Amino acid sequence: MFVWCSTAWCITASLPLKPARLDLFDRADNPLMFVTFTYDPVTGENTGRTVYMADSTFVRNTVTSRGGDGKRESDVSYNFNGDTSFVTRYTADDNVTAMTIHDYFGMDQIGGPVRYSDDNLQNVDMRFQGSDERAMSIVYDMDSSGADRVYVLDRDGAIEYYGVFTYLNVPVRRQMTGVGKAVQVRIGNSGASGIGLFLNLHGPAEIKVEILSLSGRKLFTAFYGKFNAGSYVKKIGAGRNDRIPVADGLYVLTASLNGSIVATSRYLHQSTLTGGGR
Amino acid sequence: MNGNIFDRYRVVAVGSIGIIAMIVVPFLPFQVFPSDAESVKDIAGPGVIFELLALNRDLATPTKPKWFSATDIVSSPDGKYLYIAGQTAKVVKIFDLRDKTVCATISLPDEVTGLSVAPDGTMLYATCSSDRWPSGKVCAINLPARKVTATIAVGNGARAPVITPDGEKLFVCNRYDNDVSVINLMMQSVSTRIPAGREPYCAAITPDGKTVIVGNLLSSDLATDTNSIASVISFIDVDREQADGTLRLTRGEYSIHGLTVSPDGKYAFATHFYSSGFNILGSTVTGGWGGKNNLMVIDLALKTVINSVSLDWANKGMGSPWDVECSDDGAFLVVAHAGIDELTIIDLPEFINVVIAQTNDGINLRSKFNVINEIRVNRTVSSVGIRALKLIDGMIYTTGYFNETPYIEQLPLSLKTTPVATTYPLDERVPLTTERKGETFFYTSKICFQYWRSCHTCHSFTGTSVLNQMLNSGVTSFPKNTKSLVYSWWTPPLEWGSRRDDGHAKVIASIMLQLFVTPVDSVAYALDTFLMSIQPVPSPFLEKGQLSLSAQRGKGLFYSDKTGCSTCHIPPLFCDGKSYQVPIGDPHWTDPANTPSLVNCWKSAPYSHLGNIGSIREMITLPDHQPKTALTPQELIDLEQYILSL
Repeated sequence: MFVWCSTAWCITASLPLKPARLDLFDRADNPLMFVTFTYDPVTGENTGRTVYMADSTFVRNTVTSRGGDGKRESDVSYNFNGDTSFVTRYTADDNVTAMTIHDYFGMDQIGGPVRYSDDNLQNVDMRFQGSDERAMSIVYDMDSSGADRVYVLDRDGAIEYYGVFTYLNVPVRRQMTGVGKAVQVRIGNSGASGIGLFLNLHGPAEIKVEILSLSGRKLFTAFYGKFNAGSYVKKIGAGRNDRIPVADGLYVLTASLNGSIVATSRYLHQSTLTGGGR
Repeated sequence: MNGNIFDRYRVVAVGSIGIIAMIVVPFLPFQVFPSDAESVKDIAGPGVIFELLALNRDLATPTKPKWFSATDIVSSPDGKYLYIAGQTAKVVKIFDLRDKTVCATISLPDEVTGLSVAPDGTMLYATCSSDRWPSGKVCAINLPARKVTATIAVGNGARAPVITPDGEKLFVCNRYDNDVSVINLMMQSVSTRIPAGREPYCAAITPDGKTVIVGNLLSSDLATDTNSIASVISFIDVDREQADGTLRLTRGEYSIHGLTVSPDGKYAFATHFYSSGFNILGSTVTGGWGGKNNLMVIDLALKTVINSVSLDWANKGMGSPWDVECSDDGAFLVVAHAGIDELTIIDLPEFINVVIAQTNDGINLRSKFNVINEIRVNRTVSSVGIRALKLIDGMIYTTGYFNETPYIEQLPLSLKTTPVATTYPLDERVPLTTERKGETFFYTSKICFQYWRSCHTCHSFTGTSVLNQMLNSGVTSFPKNTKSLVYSWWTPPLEWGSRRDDGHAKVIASIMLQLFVTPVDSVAYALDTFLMSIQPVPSPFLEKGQLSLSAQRGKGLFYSDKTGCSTCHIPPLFCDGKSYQVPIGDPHWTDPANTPSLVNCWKSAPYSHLGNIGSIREMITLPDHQPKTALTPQELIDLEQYILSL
């Protein structure tokens, strides 16, 4: 199903969706700020963004500069008076992006550079300078079944913040604010970072994630756990001690809740990226 | 597991691919469209997300960790819980007094500046406002659910919420709007706003619920009003929701940090600084020459100040008296001294007797030491920067704003015993950075000789105290207005007379000549780092963070040849590092004065090196400081609006 959908989409889909706005909330659903994205009227390229606090108080305008390869090189932010307030710089090295943020005076705002792997998948671990330990993760939840989201997880995988995207030229779907509004179990390929498991539970539940062959033969139980009601994001197979012992290739993932399968997804396993070398 | 499901998937997948491929592929050039996730990640990538949250101090980083920064403590009416505001952590901790543990943490959308509990114990009201997002709000927290259930917009710099005993109204100080919001809690809306002096900072309510008392930080006077310059106490009639009198304090009394009312409703007590010699040379701090740390007694029936008592000892200053509270039985009054991390515990009935008796004898207690030595004790605590305290059931609870490890410190409320304090953790330790150490040094009095004062004493919250000072600089000195420190480190030379070449030189000189101690490198460099990091507070003259239409016109004028303002006030720091003679009527000092930065001038009045110019309007119409071309009245308004927006 997923393979068919992805192929059909690839061939018949129109241009990719462009986010018009991103609203950010903390884990208690407090609205913090929102960002509107700006695009070149001729090329359609993203040229920057404007940041507002949740009550629409303007914070800064940011102009994005990209290199010849289209990759982001810098974001320069301007205050209400048009004066430079912050400069964020990006450098890429072997699929790892390093970013720094300095104020007008050149004062480092983050103790950077902060590094993250520039893969094309949906989960991103971020690391501070001088540390191989994951400081936080940023997870994109783009399932097109509701509001597309981004989650910011702490080092233990707990949700600290989340954002809800709205798109250009797409009817506004009912925005699902709230981290734990519905019973929801989703699993997805996280490639270099393993398998992502997203849970919104109304009550206690036993969750099991299994890997099956394309023919449906069960190969490996990747995860089993018991949870209370709440929202959780787990990453499976992302660490040295958490390897998934299957050969490289395409598989099927299932997630079951209290013994019943509630979600399926494809899984592309690449052992050189998953679970080792970190 | 039903393997048939996946057989069907495979068949459908393969079949669909084949059909579509047969139809479409021959007519298409080979292309790969990025997926939705990849497109979004390109535009709102991990770096963008990280930047948004890091710059708003939501995400901790090595340079800017998230400290707890305890700023207020209140208790549940039944005495079972403490509610502790973690300002920069943007949380409220619920501390169970029975088992002495944290039982819940409630996240809030902005920095928590104050707390007030509903009399029935079901709701907790938290004021939220930060220097990055000063638009204030009151978050109504349903305590059984432990969740924010409503948010009410109030003014800029919201803090110090006070609830009426009937639970119907909430009063909130809007520090940067110079007024108080009155909230109808049933309607969850603001019913009115009442002017309350300049930078209202703290508030209390009488037990009968009829009067709210507000204390403010700064004087609205000119610095040259040396016979009268002082902060005020404002009274608000709760039922009528109107101002009900303003009590001007004695000259030199300013920076009211804490207010409380005696349980019998007769007296209010206010902690404050007292500067008696702001127009004499600051050649020492001994004996409180440079300023004292006082406790004022106010007769609430007459709305007059009975007297103000120095909390200092003859050879030791009790730096930065902050929070103050009476025990419910009226037996004790306790003051938290944030500058030296000590508590002053006073026998309250005896204190009233002493103050009234001495006042009746015509004695001014403001500069008199040893008045209350027999009826007070001082207790040292381990917390750093104690700005909040709570008295419950014979115990004192306090906590430090600058603690590396946030904890509640408990010690018995007594004048007799020598108590051992017990500490209970609130959260994990977050080590101090150099910048944070610098901030700690800025607010502590412990780096001053005999602990008389801190940087904060004169530079209120890194701004101005309004008062003039005659700095002890080894040369002939004349009164000069205390400068705001926003961007000061980045705009050398420093001091009105450009005496200090750079920020570090000024820090060293200030430690030596204003704090009267030998500078230590670790302290000086930490202060340097803190001063470098100070950011301006968005002006309340902005409209939703942007220039108003009037200010936009004013911006055009500012940068035009018509005015010439930008010749000397060069953006983005709005100064040029040079000195000019601008005659302002100073009879003593006529040397060229350093061009001040205009950033945050909305909160640093009065103006000029003498502090004798009350408004920007007056400043831009001074002879020798006027626009090159005469402006119309509207243009003057526009220009002023722009400057006040910076």
